[in-house]
Amino acid sequence: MNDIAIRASALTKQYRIGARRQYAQRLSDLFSRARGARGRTAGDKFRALDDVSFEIAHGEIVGIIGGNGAGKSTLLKILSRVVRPSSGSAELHGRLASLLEVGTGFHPELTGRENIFMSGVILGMTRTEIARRFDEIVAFAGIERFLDTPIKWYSSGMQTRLGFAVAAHLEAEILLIDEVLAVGDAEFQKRCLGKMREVAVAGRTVLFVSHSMGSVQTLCNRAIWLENGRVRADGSDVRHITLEYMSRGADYGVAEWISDSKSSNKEALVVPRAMRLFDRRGHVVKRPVPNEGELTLELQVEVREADPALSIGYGLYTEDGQALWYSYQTDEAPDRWPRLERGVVRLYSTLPARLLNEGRYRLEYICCLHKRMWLAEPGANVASICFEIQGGLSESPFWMQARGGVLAPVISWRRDR
Amino acid sequence: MLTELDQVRGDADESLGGKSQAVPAQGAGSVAPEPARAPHVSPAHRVARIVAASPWYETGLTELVRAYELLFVFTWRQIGVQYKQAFLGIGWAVLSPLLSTLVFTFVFGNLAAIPSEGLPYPVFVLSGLITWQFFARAIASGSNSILANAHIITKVYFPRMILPLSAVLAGLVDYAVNVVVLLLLMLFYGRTASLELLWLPVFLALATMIGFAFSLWLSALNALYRDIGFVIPIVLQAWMFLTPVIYPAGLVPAGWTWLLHFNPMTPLVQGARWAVLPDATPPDLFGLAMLAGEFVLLFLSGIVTFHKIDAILADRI
Repeated sequence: MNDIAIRASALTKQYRIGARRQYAQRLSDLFSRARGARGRTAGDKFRALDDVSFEIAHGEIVGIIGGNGAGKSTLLKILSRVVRPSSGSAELHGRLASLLEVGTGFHPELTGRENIFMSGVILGMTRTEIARRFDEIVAFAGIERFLDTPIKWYSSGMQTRLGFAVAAHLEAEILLIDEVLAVGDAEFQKRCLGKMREVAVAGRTVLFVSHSMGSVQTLCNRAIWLENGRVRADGSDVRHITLEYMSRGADYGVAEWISDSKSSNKEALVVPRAMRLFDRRGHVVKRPVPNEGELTLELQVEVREADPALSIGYGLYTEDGQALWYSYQTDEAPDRWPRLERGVVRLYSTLPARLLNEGRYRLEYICCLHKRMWLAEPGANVASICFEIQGGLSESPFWMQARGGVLAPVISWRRDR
Repeated sequence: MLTELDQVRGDADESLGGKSQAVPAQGAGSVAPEPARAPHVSPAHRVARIVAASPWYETGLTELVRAYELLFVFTWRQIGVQYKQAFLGIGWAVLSPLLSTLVFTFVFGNLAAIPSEGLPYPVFVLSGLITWQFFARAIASGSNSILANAHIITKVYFPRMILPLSAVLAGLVDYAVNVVVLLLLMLFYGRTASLELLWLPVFLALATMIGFAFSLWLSALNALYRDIGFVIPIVLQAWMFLTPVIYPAGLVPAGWTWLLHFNPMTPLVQGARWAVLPDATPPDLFGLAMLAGEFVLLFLSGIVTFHKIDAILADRI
C-alpha cells in the first residue's frame, strides 16, 4: 500500500540496568572488549519496547497511551531516529518532525528572532520556509515586542510559547509529539489544541503521546495502548480503548475492599469488614464512572463494644493525596444518627452527583471515639478504596471537557427580571 | 545508559482527564482560522529506514553534505554565542593573541633570547601562534561538541557530524580577525605581505581538515569517556611546545627533527608563517607528505569510529 506513513516491524529496545560497575571491573571490561570478547556478565536486561509492530496511514492522528515506563517515549525516540532499536525496523514515508520537548535547540544567549531560525532548522525546516512563516510564528507566540531580546530574559511561559509556535509551524508530513500540550497557561493550551486540530484537518499524520485521556479522545482517531513495552490494544475506537486503559488493574476502578478477618485485631472496639462503592443501579463500581449519578458508599463494620462517642466515617482524597473532606455518621443532628449496637452494622452514605471533577479519588475508612481517641485515624490507611470519575460533567454543550479546579459542581444561574 | 530509563520513568505522572485545561468547547473557534493546506506529501516520497545498525560504509557523509543549512546554523550559533555577554565582544579575538604575544615576547624573546629567523620576535611568534591557536581551539571545542549539545542530541535527529565540524569552522572568524591583527603588527615593524599570502587559505584549509579529523575521534570518545576532556588540555599544552610556534624549527637538534616531522602541525604552522612572511622557513615537502598521510588515516578511521559511536550515542550520553 502506498499511503502508509509509518510502518514499524517488531521494534524492540533493550536496556541494561544495574549499578555502575566498579573501577577494576570497568578496566577489565575495557581490556576484554579490546580483545574482542563480548563478555559483559552482570546487569539485568529490561525491554523498554518489545516486538512492537503497526502500520499508520497518512492522515491518521494516533494517540499513544500507557503507564509510566510502558515504552511510549522510547517508541517516539526510535521513530524520530534519536535512538536506534535493538532489533526490528521501521519505515517512515515522508518528512518527519519530532517534538519531544518544547524549544529544542534554543540558546538562552540568542534573541527570539535568532532562536526561531535556530530551532526551526534543527527541527528540520529550511530557512526559506521559516522566513515565509516567520510572522505567523511570532504572532502565534505573541512575542512581537521582544523579538530582539535574548530569550534568557523571557519568562518561562514566553519561552514555552515560542517553542510551541516554532513547532506548530513545522512543515512536515509526519509529526511526533510528546506531551507538549502539558505546558503553558490555559489560554495558550487552548490555542495549541486548536492548532492540533488544524494539523489534523490538513491531512498530516500525527503520533501523539499523552497522559491526558481527554486530549487523546478529542484529538485522535486511533489509539495505541502500550503496556510493558508491548501493544496491548490498537484500534480506532479511541473512547473504548482509553476507558479500558483507565479502568485497568485492581488498584483503581474496583471500589471494593473486604477484610480478611483473620488478621483483625482482637482488642479493637470496631473492626472494618468491607467497604464498597455502588453506582445508581447498585453495582460495585468497576470502571470510571460518569459524574451524573450519585454513588453510594457502604461501610460494613463489626462493632464489638457499643459506645455513644463512636464515630465512623471516611476521608475523601484526590489522587495527589489532598483531603477533600471528612464525613462521619454523627455529622447531622443527634436524633438523625444511625444507632450503632454490638454486631455487624452496614452504614450507607451518598456521594453527591456533579460535585467532584474528573479524576481519581480515594476513600479511606476512619473511626474515632469523639474527643477521646482515634481508632483509625486519617492517613493510617486501615482500609481504603479508589474510584475514578470520567465524563458526565454537565448537560451543557459548552462543558464537555474537564476544567481546572478540584471540584466541578453544576451550579444554576439566573438573571434579573 | 540510565538517562534513558530515567527519561521513561520520569515522565510526569500527570493526572488523567486533563484537569489543568480550562478549555471551553468553543475555544477552538477563537483561533484565527487558517486556510487548510493540502496534505504535504512530497512527490519524491522520501523513505527513511530505521534499523538496529547500519553497515560501516553508510557513514552519513552524504547526509552531512545535504544538511549544509544546519551546518551553517550551528556554526553561526557557535560564533554568535561565543562573545555575547562579553563587554569587549569580538574585541577579544584581537586582544587575546596580542596578550599572548606580549607574554611570549617577554619570556622567550627577551629572557630566553630565542632566535626568530631574523624577524622581529613579536611578529615571528604571533604569525605562528594564530595558526596554533586555531588548531588548539578546534580540538578543544570540537572534542566537546557532542557533550555540549547532548540536550539536542537526545531530542531530535540530525547528522551528528555537524557538531564537531561546526565547532571547528566557527574558529575561522577568529582566525580572520587574527590575520588582520598580524598584518597590522607587521606594518608596525615596517613589513608588508606579498603574493605568498595567497597560500595562507590553503594552509588554513589543511588545518581545518586535520582539526576536523581529530575532532571526529575525540568528540565521539569524549561522549562515552569523559576522561578525554581531562587529557586534552594537558596534551595541547605539551603539543604546542613540540611545534615550532615560539621557536624556529632550525633550533631543534638534528637527532630530534623526526619529532617535528611526525607532528602534523609543524608544516601548517611553518606554512602559514611563510605565507605571511616569506623570509621565514617554508615547510618542507617531507613534512607535508607526512601530513597528508596522517590526515587520510585519521579522517577515515575517525569517520568509522564516529559512525559506530553515533549509533549508541543517545542511549549512553
